[in-house]
Amino acid sequence: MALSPIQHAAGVVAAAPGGQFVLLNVEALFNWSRANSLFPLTFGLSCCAIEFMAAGMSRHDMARFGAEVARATPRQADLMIVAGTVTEKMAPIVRTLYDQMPDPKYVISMGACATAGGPFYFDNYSVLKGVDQVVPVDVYVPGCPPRPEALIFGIMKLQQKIMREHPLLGARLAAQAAKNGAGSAAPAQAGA
Amino acid sequence: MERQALLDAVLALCPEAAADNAPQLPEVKVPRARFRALMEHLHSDPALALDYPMCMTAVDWPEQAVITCVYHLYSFPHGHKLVVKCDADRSDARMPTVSDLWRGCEWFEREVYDLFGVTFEGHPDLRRIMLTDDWVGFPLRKDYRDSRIAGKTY
Repeated sequence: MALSPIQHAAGVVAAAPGGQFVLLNVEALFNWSRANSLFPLTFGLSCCAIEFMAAGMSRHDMARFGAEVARATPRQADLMIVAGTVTEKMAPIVRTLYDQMPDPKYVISMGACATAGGPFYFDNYSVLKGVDQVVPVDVYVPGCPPRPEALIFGIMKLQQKIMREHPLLGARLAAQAAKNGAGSAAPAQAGA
Repeated sequence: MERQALLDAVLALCPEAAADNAPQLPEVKVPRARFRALMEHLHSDPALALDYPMCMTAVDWPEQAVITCVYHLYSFPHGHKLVVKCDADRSDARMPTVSDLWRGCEWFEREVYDLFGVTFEGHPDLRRIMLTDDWVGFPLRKDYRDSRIAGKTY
């Protein structure tokens, strides 16, 4: 697999003395900046979208948590808040929007409909029984619809989740494995 | 036109119809053979001038083996409303189209076809409008069954 420039640079740093310690702090910087500048996709499927809008307005002011820049295109968004009822006909479109978002990307399932089909679960032919059947979900926010406080709490939970990520783990492990490999090969050479 | 006068005028046009001065809107139930001719009159007669289809839907009655098509008509010149009902045979659901009289019925009839499976003869473009094109069955029929339906059906 081809390494990205960042992964390549991380590998060089990880191989240097004290590099692992430096990379852990770089990871923390990555996570901090990602968690505090979540750009949600402007996207609403039903009444939960009204609460999503209310969360962005001045009374609740999602901007306090860095998540107010709702983008009108998935190319610029990294958080998809599925706010509302996902029908069978809408599901492939939701999946396309998710696929168009650049990595790293996160999904919040907002409300009972997006989480489990909601009140339509029982005997409905047209509603998807939860958006997690088409996209991976990071945080579920219960409610019908959830109040803006609940959505903001969900965003804060997602921020905590992002802060625990290790975006450079692959490069760090590769560098560690290369060092260990070199270390185990050295005695064999000495023995020969 | 007053409700009873409106019903009397419709009965004069079509004596086979059954009129009902129902609490909400005046209704007439028409046999299928007379349906198309009556609708043409309702549309073109200047005294009635029912020129706007407010709503169109259908009701499935499995016990009577019929699907009742329901047309809500409104007259902009006179301000009166009339509901016309007509039964289609449930096993071979066919109705004459009225989309040439009211262009708005073109999509209503597609919707009724989509959800109840009533074929409107003479419709210019009868295909599904809300469900996906490859959908199997007609979900608002009472005997519709589907793997998506989790619980009790009616």
